Amino acid sequence: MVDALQEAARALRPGGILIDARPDSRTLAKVEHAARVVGTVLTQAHECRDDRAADQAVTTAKRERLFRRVRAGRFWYRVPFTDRVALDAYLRDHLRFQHRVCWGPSARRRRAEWRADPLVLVRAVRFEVLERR
Amino acid sequence: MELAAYGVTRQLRGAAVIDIGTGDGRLALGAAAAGAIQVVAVDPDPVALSAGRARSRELGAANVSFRLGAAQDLPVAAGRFDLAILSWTL
Repeated sequence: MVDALQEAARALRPGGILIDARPDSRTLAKVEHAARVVGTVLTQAHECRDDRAADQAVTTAKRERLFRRVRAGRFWYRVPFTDRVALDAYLRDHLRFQHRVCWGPSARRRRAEWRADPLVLVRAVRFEVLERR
Repeated sequence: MELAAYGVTRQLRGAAVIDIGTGDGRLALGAAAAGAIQVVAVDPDPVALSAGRARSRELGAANVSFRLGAAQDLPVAAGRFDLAILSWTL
């Protein structure tokens, strides 16, 4: 990962800007129904380890004075699904997430009230804007 | 929308941009639409690059070029770019 940052530094002119954006595994992904949070999805343990390694790589690049931080932030990335079946299929194939939603409402209520309703997976994305030294 | 969230809209105007790990070129094409003068989109996946090229043709984004390459060994000259994007790449 540090070698990718070194390559980015090589490609940039001095004073150029690097945007590093990644999923934020420190914040749980949420499932929304009708604009209300009804569940959460955990990140796979190995993906959390990769995220920590990427954090360490960015820290190393800054310590080696390749870059300096300009600003950092977070936003929410929304992935809509037509229904629960589509969400389940997405999670089943997704390498990053655990394959099951931790639901708030009971299974009975979910089946009775919104079995075929649209759902939205809301993921946190963190970013850092860095300046090439 | 993502590029606006990063707060770099002003820096994109007239900039030379490299999108590292571009995938299907969503952000590269967004950078071009935001006023970048030249965008190089790099990815190791030729299928994703084909999709990006097709989308670029649809949009008429003549200033976006797609190149096969890895983040660890970029197929570009040194010091050429004003802005680099590493989105979900590290």
